[in-house]
Parts: sequence; C-alpha cells; structure tokens
Amino acid sequence: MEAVRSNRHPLAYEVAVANDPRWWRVSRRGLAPATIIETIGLFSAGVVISSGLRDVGVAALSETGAAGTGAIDVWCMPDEEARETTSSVMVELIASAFGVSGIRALYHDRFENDPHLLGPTEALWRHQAVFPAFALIDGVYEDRELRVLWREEFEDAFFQPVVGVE
Amino acid sequence: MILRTNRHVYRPVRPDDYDALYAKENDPSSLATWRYKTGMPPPEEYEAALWRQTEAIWVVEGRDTGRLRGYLQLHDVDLRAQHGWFSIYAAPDARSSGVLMEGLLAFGEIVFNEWPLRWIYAHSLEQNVVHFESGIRRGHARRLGVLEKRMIIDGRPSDVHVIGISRESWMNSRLRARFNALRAHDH
Repeated sequence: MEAVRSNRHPLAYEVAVANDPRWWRVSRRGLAPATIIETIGLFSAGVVISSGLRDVGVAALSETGAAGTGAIDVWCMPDEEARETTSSVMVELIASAFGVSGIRALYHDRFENDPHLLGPTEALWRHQAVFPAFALIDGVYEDRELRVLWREEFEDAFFQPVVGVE
Repeated sequence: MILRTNRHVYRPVRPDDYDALYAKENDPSSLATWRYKTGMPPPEEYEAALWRQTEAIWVVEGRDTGRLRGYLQLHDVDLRAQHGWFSIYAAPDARSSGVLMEGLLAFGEIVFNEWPLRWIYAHSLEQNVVHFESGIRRGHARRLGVLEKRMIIDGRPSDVHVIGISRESWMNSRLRARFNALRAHDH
C-alpha cells in the first residue's frame, strides 16, 4: 500500500471504469476521466493496494466531519488475485483509517451483488439502512445497503491489549 | 413550477430572498439541528453554502404576509440512477403551523412532476422524524433505516432516520389526491 499521488489517479480511474457502475460514488456523474479524477480528489485520504507485482485496488476515506464518522470505499480490479489481495489488507487498512482520522465509526455502502472485499472485518459491520432498487446494473435494479463499523468493536476484535508477564 | 395552497406559495428561490433566509437560519434553535451545525457561513459566502450540491430550492411564502416561512431543497440528484435527496426547513416562527407537513406534500408534487426521479430520500434527526411518522404509517413514505448515533447534538449522540419516498407511492397515494383536490377547491 502506498499513498495515492496525483500520478496514480489513472489506477483509481481504471478501477472505477472496470467496475462501472458499482463504484457509484465516483461514477454517478459519468465516466469522463476528468470528472472521476475530480471526484476522487475530494476524498479525505486514499491508498493504492498492491499485490507486490502490480497495483490491484484502491481504498479511500471520505465524509469525515464534525460528527466524528467517515465513509470508506474499497475497490479493486475485477479478478481473483486483486480481490484476495484487497481483502487480505483490510484490517491494516481500516486500522489506518481510524488511526489517521480519529473518527468513532466508519460507514460503508455496497450494492447487493458487489464483491465482498472487507475480509476478516466483514462480520463486524452492522446493518443500518437499505435503499431499494438504488441503481440499474446490467439491466437489473440492485438494492444498496449501508453498514457501520464502530471503532470500539473493531479494536476489540483485532487489537486486544497484550498483557505482559515479567 | 410555482405551487399554491390556500396558505402558501411555493416558488423558486431568488437572490433577493437570501437576506431573509439567512436571518431565519441564523437562529440558535436552527443551528443545532439544521445544516450549519458548526456555525453559519459569513453572509458573503451564504449563496455558495446554500447551493452546495443543490439542484433546486423553493421558498415557502405566506400568502397572508408575503414573508418567507421556510424552504424546500432538492440536492445530490443522481440522474443516472434517478434519485435525489431533499431537505425541508421551517423557520422558528413557523414550526408549529403545519408548514413542514404541507411542505413535504408540495415538494412531492413539484419534484415528481418535473424531475425524472424514482426515489427521493431524506435524513431526519430523531427530534424531527415525528413529521414523517404519519406518512410512514400510511405507506406514503418508508423508513429505510436508522443510522445509530450518527450525529452529535448538544454533545450527545443522536440517531438519524433515513426516509424514502418513491415516485410510485407518491403518484398513487390518496394523500396526494386529497392535497390536489383541496388546492383545486381553493382556486
């Protein structure tokens, strides 16, 4: 993983286009590269996810504000290696998101047939809302679900304090 | 579209409305639960703040006084997926007058007649959701979920309800028929 730099925007664009229209937050205003790159530029923070051989995905934090919450988008190229690599770094990635932003909760929304990329954190995300028939994807309207991950529950699950014995 | 009821005129906002809107929004009871939770922008930045991510605004004007009593806002429209979000603001001196309920009916009528939207959504704080409960019970609106402890209001976590109104449910609702019959009768 490395920080998104301006010369890495083409990867985020490729990921958006390869998954269109599932990365709804960046492609809802169309697929013009300038529009997508401008939208990506509005995120609070972002990382590129690499398999070591190639860059396979991106994750981005947005909507961090006075309420102490944020939203995370995670997307990768549509192949098995990319999905496995992306899922495998989710704990570290979410820990970074909580760490850099100081937020108390993360929101994540997904269409019902989106790939599952949240890896070991998947079961911790709590259902909050469903938007029925939110968008047309491959000829079928899909629901969109909004879930939340509380910082405290994430830290309890993955960062138990180490008790030392001298 | 300009929509009239026996008490109000719902018309597109004009720049000469900004001073009155600013004065009404710059009210302690509005700041805690409305959009400017961290404080009102300076007057010279108000227009940009008012229109941020916003496609249309209709003010609610009292027919008796000509004074503004609130506004309806259509924002974050996604024409590709055909949905958008709405907000309804009632001025402090108009909150117990039914302007929120009537504003919601007027908004449904305006938006679903002039915008190609399948759904409109709103976030409603716990203390405001009472205005939607009757519509939810009757099936005109749906509670799509509750974002638990989503906001911090007066230092305490507060739930945010997600409300959805579909074009189909609005167009076929008896409430809409009654609203328009009353408007026709009044004119």
